[in-house]
Amino acid sequence: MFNQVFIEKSCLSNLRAQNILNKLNKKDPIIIDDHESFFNKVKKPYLQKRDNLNLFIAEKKGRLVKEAPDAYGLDNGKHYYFIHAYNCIYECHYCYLQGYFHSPDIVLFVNYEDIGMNIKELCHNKNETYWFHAGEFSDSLALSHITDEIPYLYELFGPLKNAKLELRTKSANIKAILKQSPLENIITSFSLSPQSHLKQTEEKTPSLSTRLKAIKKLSDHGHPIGIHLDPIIFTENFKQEYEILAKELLEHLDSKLLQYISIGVVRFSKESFYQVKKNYPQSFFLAENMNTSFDGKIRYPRPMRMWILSQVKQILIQAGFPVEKVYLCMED
Amino acid sequence: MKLLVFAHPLEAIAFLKNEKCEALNFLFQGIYQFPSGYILITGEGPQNASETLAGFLGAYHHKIDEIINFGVCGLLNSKYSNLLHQMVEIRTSYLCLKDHLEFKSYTLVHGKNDLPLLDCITHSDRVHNTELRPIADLLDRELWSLASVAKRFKKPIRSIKTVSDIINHSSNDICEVVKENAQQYSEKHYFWFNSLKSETHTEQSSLLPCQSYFHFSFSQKKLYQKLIRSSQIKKIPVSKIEEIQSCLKNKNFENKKRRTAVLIEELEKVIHPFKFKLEQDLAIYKDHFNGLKGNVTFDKNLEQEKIRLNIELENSDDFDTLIHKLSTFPQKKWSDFFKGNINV
Ligand code: SF4
Repeated sequence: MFNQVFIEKSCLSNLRAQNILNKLNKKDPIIIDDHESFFNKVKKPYLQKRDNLNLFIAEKKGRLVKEAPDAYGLDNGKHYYFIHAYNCIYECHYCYLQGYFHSPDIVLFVNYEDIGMNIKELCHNKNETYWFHAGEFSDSLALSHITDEIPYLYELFGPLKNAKLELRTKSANIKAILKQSPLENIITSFSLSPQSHLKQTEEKTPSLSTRLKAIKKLSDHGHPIGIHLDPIIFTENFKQEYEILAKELLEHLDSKLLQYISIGVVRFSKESFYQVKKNYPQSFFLAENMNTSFDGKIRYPRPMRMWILSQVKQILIQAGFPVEKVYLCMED
Repeated sequence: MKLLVFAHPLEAIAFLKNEKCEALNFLFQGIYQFPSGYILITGEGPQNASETLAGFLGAYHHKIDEIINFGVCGLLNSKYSNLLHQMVEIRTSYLCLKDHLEFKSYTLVHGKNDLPLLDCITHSDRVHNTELRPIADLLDRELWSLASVAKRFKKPIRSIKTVSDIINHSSNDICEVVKENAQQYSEKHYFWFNSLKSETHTEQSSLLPCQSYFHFSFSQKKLYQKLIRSSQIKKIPVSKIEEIQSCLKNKNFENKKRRTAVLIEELEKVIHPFKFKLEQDLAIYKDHFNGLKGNVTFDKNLEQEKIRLNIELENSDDFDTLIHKLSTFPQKKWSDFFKGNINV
């Protein structure tokens, strides 16, 4: 999976780091002082993730938990994200990380305890609900079989009754979660799109049916589930495709365990859009007109995307999803 | 024509021997001409490389279609020690100036050959340690400078190197090793160059229709090409586009410009039906203001509901008309349009 593995000197004695090296069967990683001396220091082309992907095992310094953007949250609680990794093994054509970091290399941070301490400190007000999201800069679960962070997160959030954790993923990598007893405040959320869209816009991610099977397994074990129908991409027959998806989803999910279903239309930061055009000039979302929108992001024209959102919302409600669980994402 | 770039004359020796090369009378030495291109010997190091390539391209850029750099490089990553004395092609070029890593990198053109594809970092100094291994597997002294000048002159550049040595602390006598093998490397490079099949770059058909029926302004041409690109992504059959064109050819128009405008409109209808529908709706709102002297415009990105009226009011009738138009404007419907209430 990785061309070369680098490890910070300070992580050499870290048990989690050793565990990662064992799992990757890398006996002789290259020892470096600090990942920041190399990662993001030079512009490494994004598409080198296909055949020249490196891994850095490091300690995250500075702020480990950050306030999430306004539109992130589903309710009025306080929303934060924590940084457990940079970059991702998957290759979604619309991924905003391609315009965010200057390198596709993966950095795994192994100082979970520091992150945990930060989280505990933040949840000081017992009357307030605090949401934490893993995966702002990476998929939350794609590498969880290597990092072993899931048991730690369950242990951390178990007693934190006023905190909720969202593990957002496009993977079907749920083995570690299935080993845990469900917790009301840990929600595994899956990003889904119709299979024909996945095929054209995502590489290396599991198919829709594999993700649906993972949802069913978690649901059968009583784990709370979140769904993101995001990013929605306009195609001539997207309505029919989302009708099928909604129906299939209901067949795989105990709706009592569904916490929310959020819907969002494809959007890009300026830099990501530039990268997308460069990396995937034939991608089918580039076939539609997009403009700079209210917040500087590149989107479909407002009437069009509002129409798309209303259509998908309607489809979900007609399929039987409770209206109060459907959220519109990243819109004013 | 191709421009072949080498750091040292010895590296170019097989080319100079086997091609009918003649020294070119130029401002500085080290430039040769042969039937299908030019050879440039830059001298060692990034500064020599950029000065000479920029100087040459300044005078001859119009004659050069592609630049190929041939040279040697050191190996930073012993994982690839099997590549010693082998040819590789460079994928991305990085730079380290003294101790400073330059952020900018250049991704080179590469062909469909069997050479291993690796990254190379150009260093301003001769180095004997592998500290830069996290950035690239190979080390040279010129490539980044060549790539940056090539980019400035908008010329594609590729680079073929032979791995001459494995970098370690004891690799001090490397110059001798390179000298010893230079001729052999040069012959290998020449052999590769000779077997280089000219890869045919088939231009994507722009389907620009016959100029005797259509006349495209600059912006129409750009729009037309954008539409064709979208149609290709959406896999709309070429025959459909051609059908629209030939149908318009058979119709009478006041002039070619008008026919071209209709062509673009018809293509929009087929390629972007949603956008076309939005434009139709907007036209209805615009028509509401018919009868007023001036023009009505909407937010060009359709983000905001605002409407801009640039109206001339000459007499009381104009005032009355404006008041009537404003008071009967379907404000609620207009607002709903922006909430996605569209009949698609
Ligand atoms: S799964 Fe998420 S983080 Fe990974 S490539 Fe796709 S969009 Fe990016």
